[in-house]
Amino acid sequence: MQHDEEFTAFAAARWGDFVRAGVVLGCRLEDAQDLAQTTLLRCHTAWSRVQRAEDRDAYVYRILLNCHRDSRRRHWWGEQPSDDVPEQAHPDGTAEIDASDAVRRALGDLPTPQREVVVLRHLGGLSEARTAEVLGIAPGTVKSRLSRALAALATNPHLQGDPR
Amino acid sequence: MSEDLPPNLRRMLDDLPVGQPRLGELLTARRAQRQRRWAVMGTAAATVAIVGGGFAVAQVGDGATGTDHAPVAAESPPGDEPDAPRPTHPEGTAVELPTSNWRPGDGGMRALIHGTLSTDGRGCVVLRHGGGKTAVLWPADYSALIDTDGRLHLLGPDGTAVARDGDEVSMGGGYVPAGDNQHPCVRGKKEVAWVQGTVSVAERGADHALPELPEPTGSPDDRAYQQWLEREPLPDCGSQWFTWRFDSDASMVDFNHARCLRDASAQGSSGGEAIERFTTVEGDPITRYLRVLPGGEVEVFTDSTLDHLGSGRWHHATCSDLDQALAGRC
Repeated sequence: MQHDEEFTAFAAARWGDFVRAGVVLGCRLEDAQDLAQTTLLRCHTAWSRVQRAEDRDAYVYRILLNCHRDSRRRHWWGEQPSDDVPEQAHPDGTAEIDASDAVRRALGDLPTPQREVVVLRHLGGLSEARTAEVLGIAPGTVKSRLSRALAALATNPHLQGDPR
Repeated sequence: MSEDLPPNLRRMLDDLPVGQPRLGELLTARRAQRQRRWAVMGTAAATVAIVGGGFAVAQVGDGATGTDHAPVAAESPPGDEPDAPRPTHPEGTAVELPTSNWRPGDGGMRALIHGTLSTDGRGCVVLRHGGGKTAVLWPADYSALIDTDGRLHLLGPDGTAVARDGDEVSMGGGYVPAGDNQHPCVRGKKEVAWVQGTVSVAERGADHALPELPEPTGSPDDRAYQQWLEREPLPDCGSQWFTWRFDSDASMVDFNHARCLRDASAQGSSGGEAIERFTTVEGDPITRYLRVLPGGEVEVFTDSTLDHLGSGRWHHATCSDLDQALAGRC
């Protein structure tokens, strides 16, 4: 089905960015993967609208932020118990936990509004005007939030030192 | 990823083991779901839950825009047995639902509310999820009834059936404390699911047919059975199956058959007879014949002949109080 093929390509291309966006927003890695999956499913149900969107990235990142906000209001991600455990056996998840924890520590003091701006501007690649539109705030507010976020990150002790 | 982010943060994000989307599960589940979904009237919100992959997914439109998800006509995949037809306008005993002033078209919360439609022991309509249950505040003009087979039907504002017990339903809304709402089903609850979207069925519950009961029978030396055979005919007050554990002492539901018996008792003229059927934990049916006699006396015949772990006999009791009889305490 053409619809599914296009969606599959879209999902494969955006998956990593969606998971990273979830971690930047403060999710643990597994919650960020759930957020990405939920976002993709919402995109799938509204695929014709995603395709018609004037700015597809703005549209799908708006969905992602809405999913994230919903998940914080909700009690659970809606996961259901299942007889069949979907996850594969994993020898050791320490490295994965360390990686996402490092990001979460590095962003620990950043308020959510600043995280959202970082996600839209630097992970989603949206323009300042489009970011303002998605968040429903003034472009000047986008600029000031981003400026404060980058200033905080620049002095964050967890992000100092040689990157390699 | 933007070059403006600190290099260490970029490296951390690049190094994240992001994994892969489970697209196969996603597409398969969505297709299967489209085929299963039954028609749900309404134009505002729709929420879709996909259980198989371990994820539940929401597509929650708000009532304000009401354009997120159009109703989906029922489809029957080739080779599949069509779902059993359900009554569009079921009949039964009305259940008093706690409702709010929210109507489709009003703005509202957009969190996902999801669970299996059910009743608690009092007859309050609840959502079950995992081992727990949540009280629900329904949109304005929603109603519910329990039919004579003991099935709960949730009805939309136009009175048509929206969902039935056992259905997994999903809708937009939010979780709030009961506050000063005094409806007995929500009063004092720390948390109530406040529905602010159209209710849709994400997964239709199984149709459990009630057992076909044979003609009542008993042994010739069973005196209660002989009394039942020889009983005086009385006006029919109907019958009611109880397919769930029902606590009549705390009942929120005034069943039609019970109301008919009360009327007969109050009038004290021609009397009335109603039949109640229960299913034991093991699935064996027990039938009770509740009779208000013309003089006002109440008698109860209990047919336990199909209860394999019970006495296997008939029982007869008289009662001075109808409520005691309805509560099974004669």
